[in-house]
Amino acid sequence: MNVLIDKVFVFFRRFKKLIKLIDKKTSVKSVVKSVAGALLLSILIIAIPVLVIINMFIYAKLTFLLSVFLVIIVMGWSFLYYFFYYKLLKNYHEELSEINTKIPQLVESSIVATFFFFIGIIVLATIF
Amino acid sequence: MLKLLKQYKKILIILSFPYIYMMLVLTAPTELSVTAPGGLNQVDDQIVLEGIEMSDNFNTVYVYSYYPLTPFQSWLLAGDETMDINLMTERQKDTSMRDDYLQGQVSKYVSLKTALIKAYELASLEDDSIEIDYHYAGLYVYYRPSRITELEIGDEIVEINGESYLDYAHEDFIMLAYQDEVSFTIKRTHNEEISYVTVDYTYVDSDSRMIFYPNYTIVSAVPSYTFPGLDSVVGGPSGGLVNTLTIYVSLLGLNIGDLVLAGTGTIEMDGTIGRIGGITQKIYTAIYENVDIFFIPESHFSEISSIDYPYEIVRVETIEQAVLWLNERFN
Repeated sequence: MNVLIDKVFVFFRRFKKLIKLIDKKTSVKSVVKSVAGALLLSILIIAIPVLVIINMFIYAKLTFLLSVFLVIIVMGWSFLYYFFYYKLLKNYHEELSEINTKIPQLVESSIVATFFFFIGIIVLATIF
Repeated sequence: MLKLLKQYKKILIILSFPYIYMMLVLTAPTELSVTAPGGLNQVDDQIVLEGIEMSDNFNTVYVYSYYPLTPFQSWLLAGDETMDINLMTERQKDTSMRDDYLQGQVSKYVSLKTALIKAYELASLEDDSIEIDYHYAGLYVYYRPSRITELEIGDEIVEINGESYLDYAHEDFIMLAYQDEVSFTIKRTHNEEISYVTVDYTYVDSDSRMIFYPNYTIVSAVPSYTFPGLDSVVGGPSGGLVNTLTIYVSLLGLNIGDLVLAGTGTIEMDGTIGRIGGITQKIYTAIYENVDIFFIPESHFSEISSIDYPYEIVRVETIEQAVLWLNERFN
């Protein structure tokens, strides 16, 4: 058990270090541009499956299932967003390519996805 | 960002065409509307009678009505026999989502009041402690062309061209409303303050005809009642028949056992069961919801001959027929 807790602490220490490193090498301007670009690209990609699901809400029997799919897609969107965010950030700062951005990308995506997961459960529990 | 876009320029240009096409297919409105199977609403959630345990056997059936459809939805539903796709009517095109909701609420309120009156009248024949006192109070506006902004859905019309509802029966008063040039006197209540507004209306060829519902005011009822289900999103008058039967059965304490009864059909003040929209979708909804007995207006029966339903169908023309059937079956 202690070994596992130690591993988690080491992982998060590494994550914090990487975030600090990335913050040092980036500017506010490039971060804002990356956020805007990542939002645009991820929303454009996710729009099609979301619209397909919204269109299918005419099947009353599938309402719950489709709502669950929507929650899953929204959770998936956070992974897509951070993927593009770090891709664009690396594009603006080539020196970031030497840093392992996979860990911050996955950790931040997971945190946001978990947030959407709980919001989704609350919304589904309220509606159904 | 631009650097990245340039890097994938070719693939992005190729993908942009199907992307735009998909967006159009998924979002562009067509002139089609659909009626789709919905679900059941237990009547005992909608009506409360003081000191009476409401029967939980009865259910009204709701269906979904969507308009306008997107091209994707019309393709998706084209081969589905449980759905009914039609061209949107001029009235649907002229009705906003808010007006659609208000229309559902107006017709539901009128239907609940009519159901209450008819059920109390029928039950009072069996039990003279049941009483209801009501009177005609004019018309409710159900539909008006959207260009007539002074008139709101749900407005109470008390005078037409200076003629008061007090001097007319409903059938005659409503005829006054269908003239090409009319002046309506509207009664509006805000914060318990009553005000009267006059709205002039001239019919033009592009207008769909207005639709009105009768406004009956219930002065007193024993036992007293409330309609807690009025604010729900499900609206419309098609629950009239089942609402009437539920109130009747609850007032007289008829034992239905644990059967699940559902049905559809409007209730009129003369006891007639009126036609409704989406009968096929309501029959399918009842199949999905495993009902045991289903009431329908007699005139709809020929429309459902091709459907293989597993429950007993009771065809009625009047509420008296439905009540007689219930009494013979369960009393």
